[in-house]
Amino acid sequence: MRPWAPDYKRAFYWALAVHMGILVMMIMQIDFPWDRNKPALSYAMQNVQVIQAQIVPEAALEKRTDQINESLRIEAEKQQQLALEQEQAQKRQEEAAQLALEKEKQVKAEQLAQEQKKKQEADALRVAELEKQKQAEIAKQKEAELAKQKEAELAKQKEAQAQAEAAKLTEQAKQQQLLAEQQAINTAQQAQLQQAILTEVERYTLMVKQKVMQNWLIQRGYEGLTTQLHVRVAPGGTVLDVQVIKKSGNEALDRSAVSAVYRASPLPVPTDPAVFESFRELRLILRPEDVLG
Amino acid sequence: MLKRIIGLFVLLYFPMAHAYLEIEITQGVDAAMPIAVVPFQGADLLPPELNVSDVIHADLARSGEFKLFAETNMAQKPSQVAQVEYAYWRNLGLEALLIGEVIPMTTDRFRVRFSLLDLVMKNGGTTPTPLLVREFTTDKHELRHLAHHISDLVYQKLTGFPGAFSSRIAYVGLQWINGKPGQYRLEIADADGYNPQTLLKTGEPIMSPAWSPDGKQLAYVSFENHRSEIYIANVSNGQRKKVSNSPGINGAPAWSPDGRKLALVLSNENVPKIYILDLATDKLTQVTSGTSIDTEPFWFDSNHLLFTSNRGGQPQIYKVNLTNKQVQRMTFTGEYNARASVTPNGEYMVMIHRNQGRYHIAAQNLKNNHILILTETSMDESPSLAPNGRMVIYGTVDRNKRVLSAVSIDGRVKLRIPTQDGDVQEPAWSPLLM
Repeated sequence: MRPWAPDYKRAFYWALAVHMGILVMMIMQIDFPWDRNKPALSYAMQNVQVIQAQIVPEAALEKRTDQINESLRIEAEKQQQLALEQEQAQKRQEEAAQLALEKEKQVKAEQLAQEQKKKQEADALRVAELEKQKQAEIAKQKEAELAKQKEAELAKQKEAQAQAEAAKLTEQAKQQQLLAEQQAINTAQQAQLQQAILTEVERYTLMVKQKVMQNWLIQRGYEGLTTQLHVRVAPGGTVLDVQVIKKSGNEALDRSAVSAVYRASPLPVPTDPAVFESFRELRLILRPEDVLG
Repeated sequence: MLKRIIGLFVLLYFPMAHAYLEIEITQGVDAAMPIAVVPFQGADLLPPELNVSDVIHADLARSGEFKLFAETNMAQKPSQVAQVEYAYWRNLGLEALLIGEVIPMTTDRFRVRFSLLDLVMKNGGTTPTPLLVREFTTDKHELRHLAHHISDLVYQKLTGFPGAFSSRIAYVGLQWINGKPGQYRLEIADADGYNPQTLLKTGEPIMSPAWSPDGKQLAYVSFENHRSEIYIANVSNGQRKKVSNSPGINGAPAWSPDGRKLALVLSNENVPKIYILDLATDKLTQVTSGTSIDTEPFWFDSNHLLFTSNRGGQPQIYKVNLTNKQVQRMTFTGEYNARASVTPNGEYMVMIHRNQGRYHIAAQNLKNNHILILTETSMDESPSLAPNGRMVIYGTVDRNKRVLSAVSIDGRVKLRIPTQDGDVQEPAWSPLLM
């Protein structure tokens, strides 16, 4: 025998029972919880109007309908008439009431307007008064301020005068001090001052030297000769005059030296008048050295 | 060119009165002096080779020591001092101005006037100060020589060195015939190569012309008898006499400063040695000895000779004291140094110098022994100093032709000396001719 051979009878009863159960549930419309999410169905069912019909023989029905209709019509007309009369009466009453109300309203409005006017006038008066007061106050304040300003200015002037006087005094003192200092410099610190000028002099001396060198056109063969020149220089460096104060013995070399100085004009001399003083007159020694190398 | 500043002292006496700021300058720019030569009035009416101012212009330009203002740029061409507008010329940056005129006296005689004007010194006037004013009258054919003479005067005035424009050069010319050396000529020409005159023509080689100190005689080596012999010729008439025909080599004659002796090279002992020949007595004195080759003597002074010797292995220059015969080596730079000569001021020794297989003309500063190479070609020979020591003439090769060139003692200026066809070699610059 096969192990899965169904017990047919038993299966049949199980199936029957299940089907029956389902059928019962469907008939009883058991509302299972999982059916609640089917609102479309329940809504449609709610909107269905249940019509209860009565089956009547057609002819009798017609006759009967006519009678009913006639009595209904008369009754309706009577009622309509009554309703109309009632309505008109009510209308009249309502109109009277309305009229009275409107009259009252008008009176009230007039009263209000008058009151408001009065109030406005009073307000305006008050505002004007206030404004007046305000203006007066401002004027007062201004006056006070002006006075204050005047006072301040006066004070300032006074102060300035005082300060000027003080400054004058200080300046005088300062100048006196400066004079004293200068005197001190002239005596004790003179060496230092000269040192400062000296470095400037050295700087410009090198520059003058370089410019003359660059303008000294010279050939070989003058080695060992020396020319001494006296040069007068104008402020700004223009060479005013060159004189040979010590001849080299070679006229051509002397001329080349003089030419070099004129060519180098303007010489790079200091602009500071104090330092320039050293350059107003120069002693130039031109001594060509060995050139091979 | 490197220049050294030695001993820079700035002496300041500040703020003492009556002492000026002293500035010492020991270095200048190695540059030519700017000058102008205004064409002499009337010079353009003469043939070009006799145009005095053109010849002067060319002389001064050739010296390398002047930068000549171009005639085409001259807005003015004054011929007299009164016409010179000082400011115009001075503002051109010039240092001197040469003006002049050539006045015909007859068709064959001319008067030449010139003024050399100074543009350097201020004189307060409106015309420049004359440095030199001269006037000459001469025959037409002498005008070129006069121009050279004026060049000398101007050169001397402006540089302080004597001019050498009136000096002459001797050289050996060679005409090739059918690809073989044909005719040799000993020639003398002006320093600028003009006016060559032949002193000797021969089919055999001529070598080593040497000027006597007075410039009147020329010693040379001739092979006209198929062996080397030394002759002395009178430059003006060509008359000559044989002074040396020893067996073997007779070569490289050199006049003593007093013109009484001749240093020369003889190979009596198979190796060339230096001898001195007394021209008055014909007495011969041997100066150098040993097994080395000694040649190319040059009178350093009346008691010293320079010469080339291979006693150290390679040719170098030595100096021998004629009294005690002591020898001192002079050159230590370069693998080969030969043919020495010295400038009149004793400052530079000019020689042939071989450096990396190339032969150059070089100048050795005798104070510090620095060597300056003057020429760049590789076949330069026979350097000969100008009498003022400012230029060296030498033989070189240009397009397979032997030619003469000159170079300034600082190597800055080089120029070709024009000569005739054929090869020219072994130049010798004359002394100053008075």
